[in-house]
Amino acid sequence: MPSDPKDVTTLLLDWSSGTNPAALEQLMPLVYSELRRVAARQFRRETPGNTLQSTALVHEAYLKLVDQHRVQWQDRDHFFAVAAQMIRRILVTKARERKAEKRGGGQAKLLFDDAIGLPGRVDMDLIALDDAIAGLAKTDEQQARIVELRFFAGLSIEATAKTLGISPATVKRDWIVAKAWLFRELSRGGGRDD
Amino acid sequence: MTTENWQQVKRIVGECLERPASERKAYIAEACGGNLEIAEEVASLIASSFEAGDFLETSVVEQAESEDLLPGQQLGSYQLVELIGHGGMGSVYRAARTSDFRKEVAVKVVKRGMDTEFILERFRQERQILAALDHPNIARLLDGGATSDGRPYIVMELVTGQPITEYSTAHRLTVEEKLRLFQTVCSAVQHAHQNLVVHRDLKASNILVTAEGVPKLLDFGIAKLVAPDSQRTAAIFRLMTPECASPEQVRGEPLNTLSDIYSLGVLLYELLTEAKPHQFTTGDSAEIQRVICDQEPKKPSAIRPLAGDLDNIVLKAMHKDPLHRYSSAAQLSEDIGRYLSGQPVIARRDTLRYRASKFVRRHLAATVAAAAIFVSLAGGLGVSLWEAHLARMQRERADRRFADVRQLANSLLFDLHDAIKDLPGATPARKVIVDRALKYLDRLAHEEGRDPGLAEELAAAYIKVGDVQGGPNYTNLGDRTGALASYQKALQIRQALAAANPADLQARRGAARVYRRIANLQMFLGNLAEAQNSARQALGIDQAIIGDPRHSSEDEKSLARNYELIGDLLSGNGTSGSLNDDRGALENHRKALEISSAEPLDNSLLARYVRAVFQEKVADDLTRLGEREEALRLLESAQPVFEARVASGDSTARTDIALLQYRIGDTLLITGDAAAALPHYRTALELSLLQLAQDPQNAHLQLTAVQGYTVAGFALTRLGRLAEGLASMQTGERIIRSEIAKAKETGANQGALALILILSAEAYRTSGDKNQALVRGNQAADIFQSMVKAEPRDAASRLNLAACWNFLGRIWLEQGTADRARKAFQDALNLAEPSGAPGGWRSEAAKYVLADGYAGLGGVASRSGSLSEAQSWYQQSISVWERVAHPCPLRPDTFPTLGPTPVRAELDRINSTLARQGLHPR
Repeated sequence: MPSDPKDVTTLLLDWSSGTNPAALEQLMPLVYSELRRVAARQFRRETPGNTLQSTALVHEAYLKLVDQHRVQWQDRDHFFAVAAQMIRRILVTKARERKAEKRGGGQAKLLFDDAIGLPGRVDMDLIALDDAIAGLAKTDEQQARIVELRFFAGLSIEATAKTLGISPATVKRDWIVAKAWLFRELSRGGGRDD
Repeated sequence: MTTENWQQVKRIVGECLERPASERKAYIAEACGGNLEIAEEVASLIASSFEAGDFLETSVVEQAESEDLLPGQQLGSYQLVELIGHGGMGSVYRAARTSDFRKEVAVKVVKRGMDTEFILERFRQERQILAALDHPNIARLLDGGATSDGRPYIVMELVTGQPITEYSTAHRLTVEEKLRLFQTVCSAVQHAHQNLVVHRDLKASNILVTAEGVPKLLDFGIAKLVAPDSQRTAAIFRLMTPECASPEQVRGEPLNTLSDIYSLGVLLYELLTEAKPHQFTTGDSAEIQRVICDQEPKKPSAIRPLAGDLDNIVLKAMHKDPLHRYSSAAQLSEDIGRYLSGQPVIARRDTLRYRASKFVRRHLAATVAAAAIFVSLAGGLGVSLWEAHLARMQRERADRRFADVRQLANSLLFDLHDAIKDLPGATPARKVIVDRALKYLDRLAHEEGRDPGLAEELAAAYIKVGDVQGGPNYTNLGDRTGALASYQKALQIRQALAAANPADLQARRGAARVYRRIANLQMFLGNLAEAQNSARQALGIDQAIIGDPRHSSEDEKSLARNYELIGDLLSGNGTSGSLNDDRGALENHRKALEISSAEPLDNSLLARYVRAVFQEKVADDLTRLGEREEALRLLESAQPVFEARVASGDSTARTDIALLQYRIGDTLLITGDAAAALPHYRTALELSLLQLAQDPQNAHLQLTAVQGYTVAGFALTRLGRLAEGLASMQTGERIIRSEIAKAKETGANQGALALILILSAEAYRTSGDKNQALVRGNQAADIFQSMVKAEPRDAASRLNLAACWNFLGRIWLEQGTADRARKAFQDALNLAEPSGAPGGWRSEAAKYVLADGYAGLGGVASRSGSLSEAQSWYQQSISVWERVAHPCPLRPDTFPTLGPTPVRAELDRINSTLARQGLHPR
């Protein structure tokens, strides 16, 4: 079911301006299904040898969903940040659900089910990563955001820099340190379920 | 941590990673300014950043994208069931055969975004090779193809199990169980190596053990398929698992089977200790390089209670220098087997030369000679891999040439596995490889020969190529001229290096080494004059090095070896032919002994063994010259060293003792003391038979036993115990004839038979049975004749034949067939004369033969009544005898001789007869 751009745009504006925080919940599935569709389309178009640009992916979804005439550039950056947060939220929620289902043993590996649409599995303890990012956010909010944008939305260094309004050099540096910090956290924790 | 501090930490880490590795430690120290909290955090994060590798680099969206293959999707004749996991190179699915859903497989699809065209091509070329890997412990490659959008995939046997280290811990395996499991892994690796497939990424996670306890190796050669040797992927691979990386991997060099051996070593380390061999603190690439390339890992026994031998095995497999590792997985497995059955392991012993007795040596010329001449690997399949390798190397930039050349040299240095050696088409393939390698080296030398660092690598590579060309294992197929040419090229380079850097001892040492190699090869080819020339060149260089105050004790050893080599050339010790200069040989061997006995004295067992060898050689020379007392003294002082070796666990040293006892016996027998010789021969024979019982197929040992029966028997006949003596010699004869009947007509076997024949002929002669003596003498002559025909330049064979003629001539003379006798003596003289030519009376053995020959002709003349002719011959004989310092009853190789006394007696008689007839003696 194609999303009504106006809906998404309205929801985005509402959320972005702070008028309706609940708009985020409604935005999520809409954005996400668009992301999926775009990804599948981009893939089919792919000629062997070209790398898929995930920044372009989010861009394209954005273009499809949002009425350009109505939003400001901050809103577009918001969109990206939103997309990243959304993906994170969805994945982690699913992971916790699955873990509860399994009840014990092994890493909770996430399987995208048909409702979300993108098949596959992400080989990582997302729950642990989510917790770790939350921990990082306590010390350095900016780094946490960078990780969200880069890892969950797949934005490039430049796009991340633009979205957050900081220099690419800062993003690069913060990203490296964040990765190291998170890796260390996850290694210590062992990434296993307690 | 405060916010400010955290910001500072971030800043420092960021800065630090921008700097070159060498500056990092200093920068950290400076920037942290004594704040311990910050410094610790910085260091920890930097280490973590390297371990992290490409953690989080693939975003969720990208990962999701790449999972475009849905359950139910068809790939070739397989249907995908579910995604199992992610690898660095792609994703793995469980799939089932469409025609039979019970048959489940694993399908690996390569990640998008890699150089697909290149990979597809490689896949096509090398899938066949991988598919040929058929081993119960290797996950089989079943099929392969490309998806509709061109991504390559491979279909493999589905393996479910635990990584081997986890399995081992979970099942609480004992050390023995772990070792046996490991041996299975080794056999799988060996199989792959024999098929010229290198794994390149052997680690515990790639070796799964099923619930039934069967280890299965995954991803053989896949690492090679999907990771082209570009700088970037090499860098990624390097950083991903630094603990498992081999030194050559860390340095970015191409990998070969020896790198797999290293990985096996690491795996064994982890299995036995449940810990990793290396730890990193800062994790920067300089540290990685230092730790892996230079730092020794902690001994396994320091972490867990383990036997010392296991330490040695692990550390040998993990040696930094590939050449010091086990040369094959099979060898590693065998050493483990030896440990398990309580035998001494290779890893701990030095391998010392096998010594052959002078008798055995004389006839084993073809198999003795040269020092370490390695043999290289080649197989029909190897050519295409090698060409690809060469083509790739040629595409690299100049600054990688060092690694290339070193790798070229190293990759020629695999020990040959028997299976590959026998591959049909091995020889032409090997020739192609060698030709290409030479072309490459020649071009490099031409373009970049002036770079001194590269030059040395080139020289080393030329030597390795020469070794391959001239290897003695392929006596009929070796390209010896080519080998010499390659050595010459290496020599030129090293000489140029030495000339350009007169203060550099290493360059000169290198030149000396090439000269020695050339000398050994020339010796092996029988070009003795050239061999001597090269050996003297090497000697000159060594002497100059010794003159330099910076020389080391290794140089002394090298100098001693040079003298030994020259001595061997002059004495015919184990060579095909000799330059026949017994005194010269003695001088050189003495020098070798002197140098190795100089202060400060090295009393290690190895050094003493080397000295004992030298003592034996000096003793041989002395025996030939008839100087028995000193010879015996030297021989007897060698015995305790060999006994010490036996005591240290080296059972092969018993052969050394046996050979020594033979020597002592020979020395006594030759100088006329058969009674004293006999007990030594008995001891030697007992030892030989003991060794033979443990290793019945060993040809060397068999010959030694035959020799024992023969000389012991001969000694008995000299003591008048004819029946006993002949019986003993017959035992020897039976053994050797049965060996020959088994179609083992080697030169050594024939020579042994001939010796038995001539010695028993002599025994029959003294007992009065002239017919037997003639029959056997003729048989011996036949054999020697064929040997002379085969090796016309071999002085020893010529002299043996000449001695036969002398022997036969004597009998014919006694029987009255003068013409035959005369011809025999003439033939003998013709054979012997070039050896003892005027200006070169240097070979004692030749002198005996000549003297006997002249005496023989004197006898013929005397019988026919021409007394003045006889007088002249006898006089010639005497003049030869006068050149023999200590005439012995037997020739140096135990052949019978007439000796000077009867000749003098005859001469006196003729002189007085002539005097009575009125003619004055001359």
